[in-house]
Amino acid sequence: MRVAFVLLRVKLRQYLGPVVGRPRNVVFLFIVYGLWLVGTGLFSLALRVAGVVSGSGPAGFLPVLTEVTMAAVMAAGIYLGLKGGVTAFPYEIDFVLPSRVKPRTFLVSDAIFQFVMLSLFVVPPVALMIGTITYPAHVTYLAVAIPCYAIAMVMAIMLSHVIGLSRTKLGDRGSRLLGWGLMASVLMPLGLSALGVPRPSELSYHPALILSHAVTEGSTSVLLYLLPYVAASLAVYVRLSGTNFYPSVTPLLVSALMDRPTMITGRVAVPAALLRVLGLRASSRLTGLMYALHLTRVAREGSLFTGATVLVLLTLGNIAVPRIMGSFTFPELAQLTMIALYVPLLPALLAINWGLSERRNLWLVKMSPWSERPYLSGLLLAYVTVTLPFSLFLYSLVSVGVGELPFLAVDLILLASMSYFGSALAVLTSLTVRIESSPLSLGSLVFIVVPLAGSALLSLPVLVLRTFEPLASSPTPTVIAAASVYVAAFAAVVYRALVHGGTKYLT
Amino acid sequence: MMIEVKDLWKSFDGEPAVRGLNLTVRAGSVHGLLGLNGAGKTTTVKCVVGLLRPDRGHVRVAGRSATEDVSYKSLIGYLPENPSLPEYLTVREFLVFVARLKGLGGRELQTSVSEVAELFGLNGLLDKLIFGLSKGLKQRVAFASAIVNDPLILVLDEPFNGLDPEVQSVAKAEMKEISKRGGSVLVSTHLLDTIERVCNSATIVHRGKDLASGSLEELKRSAGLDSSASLEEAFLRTVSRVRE
Ligand SMILES: Nc1ncnc2c1ncn2[C@@H]1O[C@H](COP(=O)(O)OP(=O)(O)OP(=O)(O)O)[C@@H](O)[C@H]1O
Ligand SMILES: [Mg+2]
Repeated sequence: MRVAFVLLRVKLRQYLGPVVGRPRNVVFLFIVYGLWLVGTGLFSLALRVAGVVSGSGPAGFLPVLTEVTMAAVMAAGIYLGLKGGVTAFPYEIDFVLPSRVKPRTFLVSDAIFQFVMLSLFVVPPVALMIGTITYPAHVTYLAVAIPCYAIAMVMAIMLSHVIGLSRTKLGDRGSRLLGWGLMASVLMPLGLSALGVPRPSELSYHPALILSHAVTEGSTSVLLYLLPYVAASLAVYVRLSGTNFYPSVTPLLVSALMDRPTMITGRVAVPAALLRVLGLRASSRLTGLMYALHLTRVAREGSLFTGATVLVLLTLGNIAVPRIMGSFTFPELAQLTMIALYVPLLPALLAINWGLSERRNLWLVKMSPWSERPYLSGLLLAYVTVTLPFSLFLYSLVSVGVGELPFLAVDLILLASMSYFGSALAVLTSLTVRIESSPLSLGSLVFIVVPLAGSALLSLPVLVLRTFEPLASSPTPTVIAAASVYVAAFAAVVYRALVHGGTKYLT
Repeated sequence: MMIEVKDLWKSFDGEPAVRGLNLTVRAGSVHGLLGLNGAGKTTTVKCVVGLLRPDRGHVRVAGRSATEDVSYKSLIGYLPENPSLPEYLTVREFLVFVARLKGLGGRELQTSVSEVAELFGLNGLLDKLIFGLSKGLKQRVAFASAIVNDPLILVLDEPFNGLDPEVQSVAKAEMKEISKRGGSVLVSTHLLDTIERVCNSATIVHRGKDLASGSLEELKRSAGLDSSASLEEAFLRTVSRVRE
């Protein structure tokens, strides 16, 4: 046990990375974390106001909120499990695993580490949200909610380790199958709601729903139904924890948002036709070369896949939530517009990976006699190239469920605007903020907060336009032109500032 | 003069790493940079290739100021100490990428790429991702990319790291070849017998300053040894003298 705590201490130090002993970084981290909390606080205030306006009462949001967040916590654990489950830094692989430290000791220290990490991300914002929408009864609710989330986190960690360790018994493929199977079952209630299928009553024994139920009813007795799940996972966990899993440990804390190139992704190449359409023949122009480089990178190193998965899961929630609540509290058509608000997450995740894996290759570019601007314009263009079509894909996916597209013109301008500004801000963040330890560290929150909040701010006129009926559903040509000109003009300004001013941060 | 460094200063977080260093590399020479760990070799090399901006002093490469005019970069090849490569590219894609960055194109590019691949025994690996290559194979790829543009000036920082004896001899031959054609090579390494075999001149760096500089003969003489002594003896003696 002593050894486990020594391992944990060093790991936490590495995880917090450059923060230790550098006051500027500590302040920065506090600000970022504060923004994260302010964001969730504002979101829950908005829910509260919406509840008051719609007459359903603010606490009406509690079941959905808890259901979605409980499922999300478990899904996060399963995602980690799919990536290997046991988190490790490269130094641990080089120095700890070959030492006398027993696998079980390492596992214990990692379980505690994951608990700390998850708590930092989950507990304060969730507590803030639940507190805000249940005020003034917040104390009663939080007293049940916090232990329930702790249980969810413990289950998530067990899932993550069990899936990761199952590699030694089931092999890579079997373990992946197990992981995606568990992922599907955890997300099943949301999936059914998204498809509009009524939930069978047996589904209330789903662990995420049991936990959500406990919080909303304020009763801990329903937690008894969790016992079989906990007992079963614990039994498997204890059995697996005796195996020597060291050979399958990967530097997960660095590569969590990436994938090793596979047979398929390793062969992805940028079609010359695309370059020609964009006027960027790789042979003639440096921007084309850089553009091809970045597109190839995001496809082959797996950051594109990760980002796309996250967006698809969010869209699942986006479709499911209004259906669970019944459309009376939630204007159903808003979900189309919602897509635009979270689409900047895709370039944000790409930017985190740029900082982790590609920044160190900048020496190559700096050895060329040409200007470094094409590097930035190629990067921005590559992000927009994946973000915009993907957002359109999600839009058409959701529109099938909604059945009509009353805000088509305004929504399209909004999607374009959010995709572009999100990409630009993601590039800007990755240039100015160094991410040194892990994509799962607190510092990387800034990579999420800045593109999400910033692009919404820059798109504010279009967002406001969207809320003005009947102008939003039947915009006059002048309104469309004005909105487009606004976006285009601002896009040009941002482009110039980023590509011209950004080169000095390429170090 | 191919490379001329005068009174170079560079600090990191207020700690000087290079303090008033001078270095001259003539056309047609292979010049060694020797020094203990942390002496300032890598810092100097990075200032020469333009990856670091000197605090003070001037750096001229091929007659151009390294801080003001970047056009000299198409004339140089550079191999960093721990080269980080875009591992998601195949070996061929990477070599083509570097060649394009150096301004090559068309048929010339294709022949250069196949030439360096042939030279470093990479022919069977051209369509493999760099991701899965061994350390030494990655070093070969990095070395090949440094000479893909037929550089007039080659700057190498610990180039033999991980290279097998066969490729080491290829690399040494290439260094001599460049100097024979009138170009020059600046190589930082701890392998003193290698320096003895390929270099005509060298500079000993100690705590950020040039301690001694000149042909290998001159270095031995200034250490108080005759030409039958090894470079190792000369180096150790020169460095230990300052310590006292
Ligand atoms: N990026 C950096 N930040 C802070 N200090 C640095 C940095 N790079 C180098 N230094 C410091 O500058 C000094 C010189 O380092 P340099 O890498 O030039 O040495 P070197 O001669 O190449 O050593 P080696 O033989 O180990 O490669 C060292 O004290 C080192 O710690
Ligand atoms: Mg060095």
